[in-house]
Amino acid sequence: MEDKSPFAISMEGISKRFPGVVANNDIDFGVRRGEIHALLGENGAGKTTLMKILTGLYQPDEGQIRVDGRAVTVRSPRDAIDLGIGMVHQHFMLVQSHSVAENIILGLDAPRFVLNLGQVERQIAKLADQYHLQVDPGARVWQLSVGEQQRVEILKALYRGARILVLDEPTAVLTPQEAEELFKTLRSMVSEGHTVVFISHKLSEVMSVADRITVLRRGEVVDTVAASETSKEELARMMVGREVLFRVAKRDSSPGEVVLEIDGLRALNDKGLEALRDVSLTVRHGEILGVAGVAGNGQRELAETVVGIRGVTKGRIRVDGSDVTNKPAREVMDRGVSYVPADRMGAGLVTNLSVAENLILKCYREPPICNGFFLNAEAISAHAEELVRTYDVMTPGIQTRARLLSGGNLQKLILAREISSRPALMVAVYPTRGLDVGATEAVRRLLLEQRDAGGGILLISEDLDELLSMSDRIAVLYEGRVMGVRDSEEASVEELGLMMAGTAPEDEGG
Amino acid sequence: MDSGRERTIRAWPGFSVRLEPRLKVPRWLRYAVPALSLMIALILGMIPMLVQGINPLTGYRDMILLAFGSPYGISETIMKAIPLMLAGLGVALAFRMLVWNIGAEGQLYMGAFGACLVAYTWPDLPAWILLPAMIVAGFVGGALWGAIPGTLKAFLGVNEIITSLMLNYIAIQWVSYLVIGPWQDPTSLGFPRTTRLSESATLPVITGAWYLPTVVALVVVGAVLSYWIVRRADHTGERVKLAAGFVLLTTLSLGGIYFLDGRRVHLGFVLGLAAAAVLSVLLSRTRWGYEVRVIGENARAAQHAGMSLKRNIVLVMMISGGMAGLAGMSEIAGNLHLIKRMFSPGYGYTAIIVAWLAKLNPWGVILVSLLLGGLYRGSDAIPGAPKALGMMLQAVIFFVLIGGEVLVRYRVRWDRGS
Repeated sequence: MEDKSPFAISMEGISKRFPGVVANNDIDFGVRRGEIHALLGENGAGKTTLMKILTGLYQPDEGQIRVDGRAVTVRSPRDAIDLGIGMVHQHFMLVQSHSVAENIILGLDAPRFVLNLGQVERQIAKLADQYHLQVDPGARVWQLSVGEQQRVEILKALYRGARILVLDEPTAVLTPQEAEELFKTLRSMVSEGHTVVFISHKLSEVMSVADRITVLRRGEVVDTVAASETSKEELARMMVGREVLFRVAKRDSSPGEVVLEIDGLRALNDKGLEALRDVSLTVRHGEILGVAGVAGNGQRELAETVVGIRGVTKGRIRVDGSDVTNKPAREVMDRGVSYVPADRMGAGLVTNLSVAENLILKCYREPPICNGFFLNAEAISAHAEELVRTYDVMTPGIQTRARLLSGGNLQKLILAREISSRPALMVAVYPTRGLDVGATEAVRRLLLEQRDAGGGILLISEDLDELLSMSDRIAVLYEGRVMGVRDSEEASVEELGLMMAGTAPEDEGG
Repeated sequence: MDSGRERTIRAWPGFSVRLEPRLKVPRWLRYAVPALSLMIALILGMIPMLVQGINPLTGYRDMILLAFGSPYGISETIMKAIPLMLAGLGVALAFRMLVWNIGAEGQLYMGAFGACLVAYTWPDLPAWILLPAMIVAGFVGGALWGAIPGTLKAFLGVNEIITSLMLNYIAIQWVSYLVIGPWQDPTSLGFPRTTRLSESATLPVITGAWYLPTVVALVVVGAVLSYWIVRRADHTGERVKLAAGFVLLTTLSLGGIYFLDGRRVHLGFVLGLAAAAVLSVLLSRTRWGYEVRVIGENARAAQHAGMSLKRNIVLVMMISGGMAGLAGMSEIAGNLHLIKRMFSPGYGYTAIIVAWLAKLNPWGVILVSLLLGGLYRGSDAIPGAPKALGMMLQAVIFFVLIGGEVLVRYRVRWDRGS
């Protein structure tokens, strides 16, 4: 029956070139009225670019957009909303100190002069009710959880009269339960006659909510299929162009001595609020301890206190038995702790410097790289050549600026640097986030090799599949507390999901 | 692929301008755009001249002739360029680490103060002891003045732009107090100036016995540098560029040397060139220079690598201030031979422009300071032109060149409505 409904949007022959990259190449993309349409593809496949063209943030080099069969030009997000198309971006565009209602009417012409916020709030409440988007219109945005902020973004689009809603990776920041709520909302919107396009690279959610799925690969459409007529395996094949292993082959671990001992750790976040509350964990040599949790529940602070760039207010951290609590980062580094930060470009690399210069970031003080005061250029080059070869970093040369490398190669660059120092303990935060399947596999293999070589790894990730397949044990953080630690063999996604949402497991005594 | 930010500017209905970031900047564009910008700046600079009733064409001709048209002109241009290059190098170093030292002017005054303190205390020491001591004192004077905003920023998070700027006024007034107070020349009939420095406290002019050694030293330094620069380049293109830059530099310095004999150019010029060489090696070849570059590009990554931001902020402000202090020392010991009230015509501020136009590159600073020195000299001497003309031209050039950067980094596309 859905095949009969007319196209709400059709994009015909869309091409968009950026200098050096063809982001979209002759793409034909049609969304039927009243369906949930998933746009699936790896990072860099061109999904976001295509949707930015639809919502007027980019102009296509070639091609035609039709809305309800009528040819249109979308020059700006304003034009898009006039056509009834609203977009919820991956990074929310909200004013933190304003209330929900104020954010929603921001930039609208409607109240010309006199602002009746009460009336607006009532309208928002009505909309929220209609689509199961529970949020208090009077609340300030900074008080809201990530899931609630996303609801505000959706309400914002609906309030502006969007009939077609585009969501860019909406579940990336949500717990499994919150994601389920979101899908409920999307279904109720569709039943009210709205049309939804959502961008994703997660196969399972695409299969469970979408009516039809369009797969992009390297800027081109592979195919558009009905969810009922395909399978995860087929979609994965279309996405990457080859069969994918969903689990990395992992040998049994043989944990040794304790390398990291965290005892009653407390620390503050950047706002001065307590982010870690009495965290105690241990990691052994030759073991991966996974840390699960929704982003913002203390993971970042945990990693930063361990590597010594965030102060500890209470508790102890020991590495190989020696106390490193509140020791400067350099001293912790010298004890054999290495760090793969979540924010690669922001904290792990200096993208304007060369590959070679990035590779010495942690060892520039030691011979042979540095002889007292001067740096040794030959040693730097030799070091870089060797790491680039060993870790298979794809780069035009070691003098190439790091910014010109792809996301996967940037991550390999960091891993090469951090593993090559043969660390006793490695803290890896979201190491595969944003990487395509090939690069993800490579990064996971490197981490497992490091484990098998006797290193301890504290692996922080928001991807439960990754944690289950990589870790030996999994700890769950919720609001700065450890909700429990499970052997990954015995853990289930459902139980971990509940713990991530703050429900204490029944069999935990204390 | 989201490759940076694209901006659309709607000029008028049905017509808009788009700025698309370039991933790769064509080489010719890097030179064509600044050249074009300079031309536009010169055209804009005609306006104030026309207002003053000066024929801009003869005005520019006079300026160029005056600054570069005769041996005397060139040597006077170099005289103006010396404080600009020393202070400019200091500013460039601080800006490399994103520490916004706006206080070069004040540090220059404090450097002059430090140098003169030594010179007036021990006027009879032989030159070979006194001059190095004055150089050290000048550096220390500027360095301590720079350490104040540096320390405040590092440990209390106080904005260094404000503090370094405010300290300029204190330094200038402090020196003004000295020249009308305790240090005033009793024979000056009330003029705000100090006693002349002793013979051994003045930087020798590059002539006579100093001439040949200076030329030889410059050639040796140039040869070593050229070898080092060319070896350091990795791509052929870069090699050509560096070699060309070097040839330009040698011609300039050798040409300068040719004109120096019997003029006023003093050893401060050699000091400036040496400072550029030291800074360039410091930045690209040493552990500390690596830290400065990493912190400047990405402070968080630097922290993750265990670098101390606080220590480096203070250190960079001190060395930056010290270099500006050297500018003050050389201006007094080499050019004026005494301190006058407000003796610097804003060298410390122009140094900011020098550093920026040189893209914070030490050798670029030398080149740009020679050009802006020519502007100081040229605008000084146009008959009927106001003093401020040089400043105006400086400002216009600066604005247009910085504005032109957009064209280098972005591609402009015009859309006519469909």
